[in-house]
Amino acid sequence: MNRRKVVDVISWGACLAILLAMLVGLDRYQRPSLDGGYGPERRRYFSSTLERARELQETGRYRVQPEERWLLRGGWDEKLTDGREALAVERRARLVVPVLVPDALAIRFQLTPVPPESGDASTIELEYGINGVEIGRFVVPADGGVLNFRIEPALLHRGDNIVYLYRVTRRSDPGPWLSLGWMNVRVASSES
Amino acid sequence: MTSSPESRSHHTTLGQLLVAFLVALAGLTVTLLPLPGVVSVDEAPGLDAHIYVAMAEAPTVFTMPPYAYRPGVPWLAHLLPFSLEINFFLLTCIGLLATLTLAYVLFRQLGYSHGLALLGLSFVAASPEVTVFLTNHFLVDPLALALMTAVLIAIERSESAGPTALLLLLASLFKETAFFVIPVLYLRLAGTRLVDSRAAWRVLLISSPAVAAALLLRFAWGGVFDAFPYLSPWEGHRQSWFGNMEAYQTIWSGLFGYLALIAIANAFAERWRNFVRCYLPFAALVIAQLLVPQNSERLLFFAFPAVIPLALAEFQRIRDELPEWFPLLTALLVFCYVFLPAQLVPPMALVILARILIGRRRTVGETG
Repeated sequence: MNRRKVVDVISWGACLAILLAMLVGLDRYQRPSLDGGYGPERRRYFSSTLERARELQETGRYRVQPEERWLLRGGWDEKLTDGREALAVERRARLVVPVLVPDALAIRFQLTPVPPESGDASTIELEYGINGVEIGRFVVPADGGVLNFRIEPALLHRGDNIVYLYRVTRRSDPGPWLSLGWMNVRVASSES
Repeated sequence: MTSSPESRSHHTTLGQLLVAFLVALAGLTVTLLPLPGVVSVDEAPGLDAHIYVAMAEAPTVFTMPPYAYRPGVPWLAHLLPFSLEINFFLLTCIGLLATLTLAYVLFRQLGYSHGLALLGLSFVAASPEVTVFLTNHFLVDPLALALMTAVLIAIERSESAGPTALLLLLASLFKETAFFVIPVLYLRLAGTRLVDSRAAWRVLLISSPAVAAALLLRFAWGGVFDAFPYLSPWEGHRQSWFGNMEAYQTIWSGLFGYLALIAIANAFAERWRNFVRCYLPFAALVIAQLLVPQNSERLLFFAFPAVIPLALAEFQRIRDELPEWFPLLTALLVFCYVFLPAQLVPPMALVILARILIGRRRTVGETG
């Protein structure tokens, strides 16, 4: 073989090696569709979701506060309340649950109904689900309560899973309707 | 592959290459001196920089399109041993240095002498976009452009399929703009024919690894599939072009100022007809980027392999036909390029003056 042929063979071999390395090495961690957004906030989203997914994998649980804005994926007010809670402003509010290995999860939300402009706090019925699949319904007591539910592994995927909270109760007031205090996620099998 | 139509392509010696490298290094150093140098990630402007940094932090995990489809620079930044800021800065400097040196090699390959190729290198080095890349050094463009230039050199040198395919694959992993060279590859292979099935099959063979990598990144990775993951012309805020002189000046600066006008004037010359035929689709694709993303003016920098060689033809004409005027006119034109980048009248007046002098000299020569 002359030199040109040797270079040719090595080059094709390198192409194949690169493609194989990509096929094997690329992580199948799925991300939701994101719009442009503000640079530092996006970077925080990518790093924080991975950190939490690893934490869940290593310790079997994690807890997040609404101060960690990456948690909120749409339908929430840009600003937090003085009590550091997130306010749902749209009828469907979404949150991120990052997962490395799909496993049965137990999720807990601390929720409080926000009273309308003119009126007192009252119970609110909401539908909750993950990745577009309804899991159940929950009536949030007027003075707040904890939504506790289990997600089967079949509903999860490796990546950023999206939990939604959809207000079933009709309300004429266009203002915030629900306040989120914290979110706990843990692997269900580790729950005693 | 068919040979380059610019049959006067020159062999570059190692000494000449070293000179070109030193000129590129000097040009970059001069540009870099007044700049802040390495800036922290938090000071990085724009969305792109932060996404590339996120990619460097977790290189195998998908982020968001279209940035995630350009993993080359973030992967390298992850591998280098320093902090991410320094790594990105080093990669930008290496990318620009390689682009400038390879630009010299490309100009030589297209038939220009050592001096004119160095002049072309200097025009690329003095472009305002070099400052943009050195200021925001978290971008992937410099290394992507260097690899794209390497692919063009491989095409012009009629390299065999394997090395060209490997270079195209690597370039495509740095930025999808690498695919803009495919029409050049086809047209160089097809020679004077517009439809050539053999050339088409060869292009398919050479581009298949890069296409496979692109499909792998888009369909086998963890990201969502967005059919067209770029901003459409009607999306996002952009300055209006119609009646906006500032917008035109920005575009002209991005397209190497008055050199673009000279390039257009020379595109009609007989000697460059084949070059224009091959590089016109490439130039059109680069300029078409103006219609898609924001901050796209800096992407016009990718047009240098089409614009600068055609502009250098004017300097070659002056050197060949007005040798005694060449140093003065070139010095004045370089002055205009560096210090009056948005002005078109003074440099074009000089070019017109040179053409008048050349015309008169020819007339005198013919009558005498």
